Amino acid sequence: MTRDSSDDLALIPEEQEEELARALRAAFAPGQLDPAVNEALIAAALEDPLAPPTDEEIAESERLRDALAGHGSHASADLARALRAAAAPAALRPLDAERVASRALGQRVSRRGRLLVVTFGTVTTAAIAIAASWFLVIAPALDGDGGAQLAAQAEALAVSRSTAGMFSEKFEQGATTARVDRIALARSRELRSNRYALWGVR
Amino acid sequence: MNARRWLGSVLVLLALLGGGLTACSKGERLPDGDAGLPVDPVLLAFLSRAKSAHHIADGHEEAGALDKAVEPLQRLVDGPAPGGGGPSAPAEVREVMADTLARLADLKSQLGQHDAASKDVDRGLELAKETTYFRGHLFEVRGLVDERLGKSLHEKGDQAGAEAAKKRALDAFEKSMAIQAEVIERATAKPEGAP
Repeated sequence: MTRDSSDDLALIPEEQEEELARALRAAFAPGQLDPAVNEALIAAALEDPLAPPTDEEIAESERLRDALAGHGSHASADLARALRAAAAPAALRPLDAERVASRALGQRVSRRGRLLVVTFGTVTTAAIAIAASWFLVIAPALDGDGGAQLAAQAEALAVSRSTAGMFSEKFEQGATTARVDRIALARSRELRSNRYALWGVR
Repeated sequence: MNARRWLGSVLVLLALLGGGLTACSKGERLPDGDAGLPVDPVLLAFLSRAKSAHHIADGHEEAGALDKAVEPLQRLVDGPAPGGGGPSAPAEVREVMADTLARLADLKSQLGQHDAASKDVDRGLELAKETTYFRGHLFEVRGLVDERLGKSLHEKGDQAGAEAAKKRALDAFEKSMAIQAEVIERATAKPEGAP
């Protein structure tokens, strides 16, 4: 699997997904190999570890070296790259990520969706986005409909103000707790309303 | 909610906060009833703290432990509060503080701590300057504080001091009644142009 062929990526059948996932997990975080199994694998691969390489082995090793250097192809080179990608995966380029996601979801990821992902991705990005947006988006918007929308949004927020209007009778001695309870309840409702307003919920 | 709307919401808050900070930095205070900063979690945290303090005090007061009832209320008025809890604090903070100080003054007065009670009333009046029930209630408590002081001085044989305290108490009660009357009149007055 190479990056150059990413345009031709095809989704694997569901039944192969689990097998692939297991293989990737094993490559990324390999478990302990039983020593006996290890010995058996070495014995099967090398009849005599100290014997000189045959002509066939030398030719194969040269072909593998060239393939790893980017010249020609070799099955073992593909396997080595796959293992390396599984063990230390490189970050997907944004377009690759979008392409894979859109194929998996059966629809194209919208620009708005990507913007949300980017905006919420890191605090730093969000801070930069806000600062940049002031100059690029908000300031121009204040001259148009966007400004009116922001103003309307601000107007919908409940603000801090006197609670005197909540009480229509002279304060009774010993009823301070009831008054504080009433004030706290009223403002907690307003805080909730403010949150909904900022979320765009009416 | 799309990204633009979210961004707009953040900026609305920032703009309002910025406006509030600018006003505060200039030492301005919004007139009572005028719009302040949006109701936010910090204000709610203070109100929640106040609510808890008064409920704790209720428990002690019902058990007759007035000195213990003072403690949570004192922590509230001396603790952190939005706007520093002073004259530039949000209206709700000033009013709850003023009401708490009135209760503190009443408790301390019953405990014989007349000077401390009087200071609490003064501090409360600095926070509740508008003509409201909060201010009227503070004058009412001032009347009670001076009335108790007068009785105490009388029992100690200080007749002149007792008379002076009694006079101050009557003045405070009169002032309280005048404020309450004004609040009632304003609340029941017909709006301009009404039939």
